[in-house]
Amino acid sequence: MATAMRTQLDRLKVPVDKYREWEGGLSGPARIGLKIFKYLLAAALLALIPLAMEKEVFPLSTIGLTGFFGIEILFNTGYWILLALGLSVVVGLAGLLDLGYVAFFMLGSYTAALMTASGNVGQFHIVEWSPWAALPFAVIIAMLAGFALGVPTLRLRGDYLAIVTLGFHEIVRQTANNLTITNGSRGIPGIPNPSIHLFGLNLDFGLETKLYWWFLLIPGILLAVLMIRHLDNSRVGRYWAAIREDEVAAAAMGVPVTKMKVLAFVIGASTSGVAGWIYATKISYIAPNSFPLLLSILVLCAVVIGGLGSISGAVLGAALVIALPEIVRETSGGATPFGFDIETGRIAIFGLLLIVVMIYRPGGLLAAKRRRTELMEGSGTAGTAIAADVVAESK
Amino acid sequence: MDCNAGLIGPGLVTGVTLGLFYALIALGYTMVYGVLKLINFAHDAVFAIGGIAVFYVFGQWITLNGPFTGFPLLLIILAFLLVGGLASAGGAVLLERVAYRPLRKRNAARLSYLISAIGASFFATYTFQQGFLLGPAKRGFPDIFASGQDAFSMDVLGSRVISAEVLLIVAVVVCFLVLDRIINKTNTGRSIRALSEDPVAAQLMGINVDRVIVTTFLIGGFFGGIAGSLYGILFGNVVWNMGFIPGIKAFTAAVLGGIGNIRGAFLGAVLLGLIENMSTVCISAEWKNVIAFTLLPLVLIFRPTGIMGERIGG
Amino acid sequence: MANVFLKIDGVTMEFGGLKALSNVNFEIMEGEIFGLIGPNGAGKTTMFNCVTGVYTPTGGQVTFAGGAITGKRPDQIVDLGICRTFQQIRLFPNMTAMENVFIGVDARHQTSVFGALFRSPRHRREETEGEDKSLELLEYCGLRKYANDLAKNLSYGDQRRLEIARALGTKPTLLLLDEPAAGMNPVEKNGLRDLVRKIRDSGITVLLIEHDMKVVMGLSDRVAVLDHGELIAYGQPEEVQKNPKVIEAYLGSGAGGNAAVSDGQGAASDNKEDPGGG
Repeated sequence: MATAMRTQLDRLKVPVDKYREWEGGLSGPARIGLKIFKYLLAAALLALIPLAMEKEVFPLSTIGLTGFFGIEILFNTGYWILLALGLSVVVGLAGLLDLGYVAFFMLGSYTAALMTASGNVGQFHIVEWSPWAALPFAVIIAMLAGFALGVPTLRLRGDYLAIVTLGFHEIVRQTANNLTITNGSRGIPGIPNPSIHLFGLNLDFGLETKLYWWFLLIPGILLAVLMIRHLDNSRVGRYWAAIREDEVAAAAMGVPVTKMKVLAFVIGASTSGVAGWIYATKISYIAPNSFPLLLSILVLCAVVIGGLGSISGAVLGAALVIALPEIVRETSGGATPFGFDIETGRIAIFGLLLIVVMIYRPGGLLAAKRRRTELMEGSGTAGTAIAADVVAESK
Repeated sequence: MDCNAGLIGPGLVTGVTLGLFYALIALGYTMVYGVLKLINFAHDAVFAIGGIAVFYVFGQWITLNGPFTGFPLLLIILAFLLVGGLASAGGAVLLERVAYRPLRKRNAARLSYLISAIGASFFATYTFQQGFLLGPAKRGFPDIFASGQDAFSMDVLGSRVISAEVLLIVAVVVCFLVLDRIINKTNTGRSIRALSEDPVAAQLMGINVDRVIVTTFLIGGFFGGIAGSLYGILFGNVVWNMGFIPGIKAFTAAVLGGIGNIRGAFLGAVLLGLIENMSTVCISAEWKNVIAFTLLPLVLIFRPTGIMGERIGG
Repeated sequence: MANVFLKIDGVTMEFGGLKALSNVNFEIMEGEIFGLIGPNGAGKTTMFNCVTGVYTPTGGQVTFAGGAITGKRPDQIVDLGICRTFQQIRLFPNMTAMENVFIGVDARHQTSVFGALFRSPRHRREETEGEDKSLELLEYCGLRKYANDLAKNLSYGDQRRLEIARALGTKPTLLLLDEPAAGMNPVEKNGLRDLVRKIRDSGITVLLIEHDMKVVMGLSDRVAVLDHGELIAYGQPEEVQKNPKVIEAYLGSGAGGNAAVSDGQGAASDNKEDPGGG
């Protein structure tokens, strides 16, 4: 039965290979044209999803992904895909354990809040611009934070880096909680929604217009995907891979290791800046409590379980962490399996999954193939060999 | 800074007490680091198990008619600490077996261990939060000391030290003395030190690596459980995420003093407790965590081996 | 007249109380193959680490082509034209042979982040050129057929050659080989000897650590001998072999002693000359 399946899959390979051959034979401009077409096609398909939800199309209808509810989940999954893609660069491509990634997300949100006409009377603002103007700044601030965090700390060893990044998240959160300019623990309400009044289009992205938020996310996601693919298949991506495999050897071959690590942090933070902006301008209210440390760990779960270093892995991970529990909760009508409340219990399950994935499928479910082999036989790091490695290093 | 001199004395005393508490938890991190050269992220859950176990055994299953004094009090205290210690030790051994050993046997990359440990911590902690266990709220811890009029207290440097705190100080000091003895004077301790200093040689000498690692988890877990029990006694409650902040602080303390180094863990923890408490007294309580979290990267950048260096025997 | 290419000037390296290198002095001329030998633990790899920036010497200086390089970072050293292989093979195990060499070749590329992001013409050019150059280097080292095999799956001898191919990718003018023949069988060793000669003949200066006396004496134009961190002999291979201090160092530690004596002319008691170290 397995062999029958395999021959079926092999048969599928033939046309795929033929297509690849044709693609490879194209000239430069033709290839660029094809690429543009592919991304536009992807955008169109993605745009259809919420429409399908409104029309209650099968199979979305069976799992309850319809109407308002479905589109809400789509939006949440969407910005989580942005987060997962960003963290995937950091953890998956550069191999750095960042446990405080959501700090950048938070900075993006607060930038959006503090650069628009938000909050109650007396709320501090840096400027009061339209939300669109705040968008590039949200991204830039997030990236600067990635740089600021990375430069001093990326020389540290993996586990130390992890704790420091965790601390960073808490520092950012507590600082927002304690400062008056961020309105402390009460947070900032009334963040203006973006709107488009161009060429006869009059779109106000409010709470009512769920559809359009997704349309806003699509270019964000596709740009992130493009960025990652370009980096992965380049000198930068190769350098990241070399650093993951053996930092010392990489440096000995001319790889500027710390620079590359900082770059990963900065690039990774960029998507969270966008996500932070979208979150703030949609929900219109942010507070330090909206960004608990738990969120950072959840993004990590998404990336690790979904698949490290691969785009499909990030998408799957986001769907698993965000969409799946919601769907389960809706369709089960509030059941509590084994006494586990779904909202909080899912985190326990993810915790368990992290262990299981690390043992049995170290790259995650949809890992980039190379990543999986790396993690399975980590470059010379067995139980005691880890210690030997470290002891030898320190001699 | 708006400290006045009158606050400093009590501030120091509370700071040292707090530090001692962190020290006991820091032990778990530092010992496992000593033999595996890895931070055991899940130690916060191990610590919590101790307090939670005592909550169930002496708060839910058995009903105590406290408060107690004299010899019965001593017995109850020992019972609490023992139950806490054993429960956590068991949790730690289970943790090693489920989340660490399979990775060792598969030659996994360092990153895998860290992620697995995080998974274990979150699995345990969020299970504790479920309704069939602790639930989301704080749960009252069984009361053993007299309170109100009969409450015991001592005056140290202008600070009122209550019985629970005295217990803490005594317990922690005793634990460290015991551990110091174990590490430096027993065969088990020798094996742990050997494995920590030179794993390859240790193995060649015939040391059973698996067994030493389990023993290390067990010892670290046991002391973590005592700390968990003390938490309940000191704060009067247990809560599902009780391990989270103390865990991070204890880890910071261990690194500050020199991770892998037991005396370093003690020193680093006391120092951290003092810094934290003096921040609360002289600056404000709101910023104390920020200060603790900022201290760690500073230490790691400027003195990565900590105050006392990285050798487990100190 | 050949130039002084690499100058080791009074280099000392101390770890805590341990002196791994003590005031070592020697010079390597452009275009020669220079052997660095000595019993185990003599400090040879430590010397490599001092030259390549892994360690910063606690005393003394390292000068390359007239400029001081002491204390530079490893990636900066590569930029200047020095590249190394490792005693314990440090390939990128889960990358293919070609990808491994590509990393070396990438050292001479200039595609930046922006170039990679926007697929600049330079990026495109360097990608194809890099692939070609990597395959060329694999061919040069006799590994062309393994181009798409994972490095960890190659035989030991081939892995050593791959490390050399990768180092060559960085277009070095000085190549440091740390025990390239270790673990090879005699046939592989001959092949390696030819490869090293080929490399030197193409204009690259080679500094070679090796334990196998036949290999190093047969290849080197000059050698330096370290023992317990000190330079004890320095000069032509034939003279160094006869140096009593060298013989004692090897016999005394028992490592490779046979080879030293058998390749020399027997006991050195009648040799009045003392070439003396640097």
